[in-house]
Amino acid sequence: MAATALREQLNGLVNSMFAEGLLDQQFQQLQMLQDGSTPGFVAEVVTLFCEDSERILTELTKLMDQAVVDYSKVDAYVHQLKGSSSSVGAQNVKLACIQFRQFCEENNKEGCVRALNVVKHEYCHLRSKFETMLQLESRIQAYENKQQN
Amino acid sequence: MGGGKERIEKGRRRVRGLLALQFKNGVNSWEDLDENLVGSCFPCGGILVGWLISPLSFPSSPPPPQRIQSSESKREPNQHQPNPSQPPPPLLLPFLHLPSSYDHSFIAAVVVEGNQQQQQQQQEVEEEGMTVEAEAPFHVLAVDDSLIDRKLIERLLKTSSYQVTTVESGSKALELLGFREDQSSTPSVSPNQHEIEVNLVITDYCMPGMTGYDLLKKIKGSSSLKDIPVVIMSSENVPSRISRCLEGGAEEFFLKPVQLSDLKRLRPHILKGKSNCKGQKQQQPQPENNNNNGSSSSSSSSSNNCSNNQSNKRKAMDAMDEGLSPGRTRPRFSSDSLTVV
Repeated sequence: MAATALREQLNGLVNSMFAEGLLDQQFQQLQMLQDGSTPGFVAEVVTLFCEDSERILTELTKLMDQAVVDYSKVDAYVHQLKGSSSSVGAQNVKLACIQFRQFCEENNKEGCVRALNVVKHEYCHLRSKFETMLQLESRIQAYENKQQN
Repeated sequence: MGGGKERIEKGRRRVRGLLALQFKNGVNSWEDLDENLVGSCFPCGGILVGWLISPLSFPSSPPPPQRIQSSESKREPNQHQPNPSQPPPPLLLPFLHLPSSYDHSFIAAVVVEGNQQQQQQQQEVEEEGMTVEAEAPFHVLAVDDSLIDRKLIERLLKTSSYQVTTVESGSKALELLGFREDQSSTPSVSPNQHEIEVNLVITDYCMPGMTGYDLLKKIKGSSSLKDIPVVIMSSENVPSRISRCLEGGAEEFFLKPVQLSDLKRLRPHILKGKSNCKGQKQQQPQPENNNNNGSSSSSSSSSNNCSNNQSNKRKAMDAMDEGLSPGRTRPRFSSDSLTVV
């Protein structure tokens, strides 16, 4: 059954993300909150996270491009990103944010620039996996809907 | 008065309404439920004739709906006129199917028939437009500037059977709560349309503008809102921050990300908040209107929240007994004990 194969693929993907440290147990909490009445919950949260992160990363890039960096603003954004990544279980992104905040506190421009790159890298890696995850989920959903009809 | 009398006559025979009573604690078995409800007279003058119970609530299957003896027959005969007519026949009722998120509590709905002795109360209750909803769980107001966190806390709370409203700032929260800056004594204002009745506020600490701590202080400083329990959340584990919040009147401090298991800690605070409310009410010599707890609300079910959901069985009985003895003139808060769950 095609849906079963897809499910296996999806589970495999998610498991590998846990294994790699891309996701932590908070993501499992999200999965637990999804049920029959809220089938799209994880997808919704993941999508919101991606949109939010991209907005923040854009702002951070602009701020770091300034001749004189406003570290309090930078810190505020990183704090936001750290919060949302923590809430969705995006472990590597969260850890990268924690590092970033360290450099902010020290007003270390070079450190911050590097840290921003790490955050972007981690985020991009995560996003591509999330995209695959959501595609698999919607294909599975499509199969299940067909079966019901 | 003729039309009214006729209406009440009809009401006597018809099912008056579906009252849902929600017990959060203290009722763990069918026997407990039985003790709570059997022999309870309802302020609207009802006789418990049957019930709908969530099949999810107890492990064993529920007993069939049955005719429950009215407590009237247990009362001293000289307290009220005896009911001259036949008791109404029992009704067979279907089970109420509730979503699985209700397995932490249960809802017992009782079908009540009108009783001629309590015509007065019935009329009052009808006139108040007693709203009966199948389920109206505790209402939590969640405040967080992060959209993702709002989504998350909303889902967590709904999964735990709470009704949720989310807002993005402390000032929005205060607006919704109907906070007024110069409230130093019980206000007697007309209800603000935007006001809602909440049983608990859960707020993020770090927010632009008004922090969660600021919001806490405002709520605790308001005579109408101070009894609403407040819980603070933060992604940062800063002991001095935590103690400051707790000293400022917060009931709990949750570290983010908040999990389902954390929400279990909310219940005792919500229940305590409700009994504070009830306490306030009882202190007043005459509860003259539904707004006596100060937080006026446009819905008649507002102060209902105060008397319902007693965790203590005895309290539940007392609350219901309040409306009972026909000799007393029933104050308008009669519908309160019924709530409206």
